[in-house]
Amino acid sequence: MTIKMRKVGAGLIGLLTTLAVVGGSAPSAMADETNSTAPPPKVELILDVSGSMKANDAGGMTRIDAAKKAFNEVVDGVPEPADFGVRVLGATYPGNDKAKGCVDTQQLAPVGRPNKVVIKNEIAKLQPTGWTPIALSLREAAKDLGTGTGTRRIVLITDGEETCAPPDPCDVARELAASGLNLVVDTLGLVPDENTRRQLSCIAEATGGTYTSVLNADELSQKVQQIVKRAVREVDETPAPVKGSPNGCQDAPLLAPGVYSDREEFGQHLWYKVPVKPNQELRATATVGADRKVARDYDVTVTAFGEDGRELVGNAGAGNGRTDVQSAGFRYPYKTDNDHAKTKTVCLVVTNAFAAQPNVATKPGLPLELTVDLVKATDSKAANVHGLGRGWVFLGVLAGFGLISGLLAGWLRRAFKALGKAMS
Amino acid sequence: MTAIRTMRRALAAVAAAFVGVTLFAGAAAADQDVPPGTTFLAAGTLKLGQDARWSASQGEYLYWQFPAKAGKEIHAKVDLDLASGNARTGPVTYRIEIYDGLRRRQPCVEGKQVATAQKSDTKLALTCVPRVVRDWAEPWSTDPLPGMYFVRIAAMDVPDLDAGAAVKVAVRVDTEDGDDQVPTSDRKLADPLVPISKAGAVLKSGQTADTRSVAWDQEEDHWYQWDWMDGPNARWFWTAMATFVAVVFGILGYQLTRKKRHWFS
Repeated sequence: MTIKMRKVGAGLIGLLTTLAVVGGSAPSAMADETNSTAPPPKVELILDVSGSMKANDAGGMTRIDAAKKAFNEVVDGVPEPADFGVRVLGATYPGNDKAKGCVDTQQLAPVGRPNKVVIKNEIAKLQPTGWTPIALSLREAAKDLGTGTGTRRIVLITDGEETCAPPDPCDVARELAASGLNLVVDTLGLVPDENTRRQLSCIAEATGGTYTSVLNADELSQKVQQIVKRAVREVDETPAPVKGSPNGCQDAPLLAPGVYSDREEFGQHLWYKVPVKPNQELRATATVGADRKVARDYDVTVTAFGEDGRELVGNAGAGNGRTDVQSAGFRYPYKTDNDHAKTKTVCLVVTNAFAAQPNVATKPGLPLELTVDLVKATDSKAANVHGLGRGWVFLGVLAGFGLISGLLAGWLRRAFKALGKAMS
Repeated sequence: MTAIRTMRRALAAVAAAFVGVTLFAGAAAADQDVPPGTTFLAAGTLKLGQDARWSASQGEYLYWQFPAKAGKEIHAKVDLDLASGNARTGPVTYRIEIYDGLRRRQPCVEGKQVATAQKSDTKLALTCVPRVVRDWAEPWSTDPLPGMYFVRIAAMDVPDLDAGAAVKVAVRVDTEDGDDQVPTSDRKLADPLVPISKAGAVLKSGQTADTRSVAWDQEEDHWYQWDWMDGPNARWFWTAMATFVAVVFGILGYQLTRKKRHWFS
């Protein structure tokens, strides 16, 4: 009976443990309460309606039909609370005059909550016509998305490369990303050829976006919806723009905890300052993006200096090969028992050892994301344990040797006694 | 404590075997779309012990994050489904990397971190096991500490023509109790490495900022653990107790020899 009861008990505990393991295996860490006042993400789609979209090779339909089909699905599925707009390029001018063909881009629907009926009607009317002025369309789309905080995403859908260069759309994209607008360009190549792939990859890389090649309407629709959803999910606050000082600590901006974005040129040192109160721990990370072709090996170093120039702590992250970013981070605890300790100003310097490849623009600088955090300080030195022990094994060993010594002492005593008796 | 842990594991295993088996299997096998982010800041949140699936494009950088506590060993595993031969022009190399809450790369001490798929291969599996998470480290050290971790999956090398092709990604992270021999320091990190995500603000000269309290669901399932005995002072207690026990056993041993016994006959 008792055994049975025990079994049931064990089973119950087991079940509870199972539940705990299943249900509680993911201790969720909420970084901060998400700020719901963040503005809605803005997304603008740019659709190429140039002559080449007539080609009948997108999964059994023409490219433009595939794009239209996908667009209708996307418009139906725009999630709350995204603002959504549409722009077209090469939609109106059929002639051969480059000057006219290369300004042929119009906004089909303004950025806001989409009016599905209107957008669908407009899309239905589109006919593949003209040139492919990608660079200009990107510039115009960036204007459409406006200024202010919040994330901005441009989704560029095209089947061919720029036909109006210069300027190179890749350089234009990098320039736009550097303008402090939190702008990302995702590119989609519809049945793309080699040059188109290269150009679209370059645009995506320059802005931290993604490049995807799609072959039919379904893939296109799925990918665009994925990108729009992602834009909505990533609605978290956007980094605050800041300008680090290249001249040293004294001119550096004083930073509160948070995420910042900046630009750092090749080989530049950028300085920032953080006031650290007693018993606060400074945690900082620096992430430098490789938004263009760079040499194979690179590193990023972030170091903390005291105001007197002493190096407090630092970390270097090195890497090689194809990458989007290289990061480094450190923690600096300012732990003190002194009640009269004063606030310390910690100077933070971010350096990078990226090397630009020949023929690659060196300006604007590389995107730099800096995070600064102040939390409770932890002791920076290991505890002095004075050679003391801890734990059950330690206790067991001592107890075991105690027993052995007791037994030995007892036997020795008896042996001596016996010896004494024998002698007398 | 190891004994208790083992006992708990055994209990859980027994329960899973005959009571909770369907529940456990059902929950553990539930796949779900967990969107990765394209940056550290936007990393998608992984549930430990669950597969996350995603259709990505070749050449994309995928970031997920997950929590890990002190004493845990992280096991990260990625399965990639690549487009079949005709859609690809050459071999592609993928790499999995684990970064800690300070975005420092943590080396994989076990597992296949880099793998190349030849043109004919459609499957690729990567694994990474970084060092066991410590409970404390000196500021200069890059030892893994409790907090959020990032897993980053990306193609290291992809032919120009294959960029943007579809690739299906399944990622799974488990954390297991690590080796008990992890060096302990009698210290604990006051707050786990949970990255800040709010936008920064530039201060005026002379201003200071408040300490952020890191919200971290501690999920105290160790009700039997004697927390009050942690920390540097615990060693005094342990040593005193062990000495006392040793003395008691010493006296006991001595007493055993007092009476005449036939020990070995």
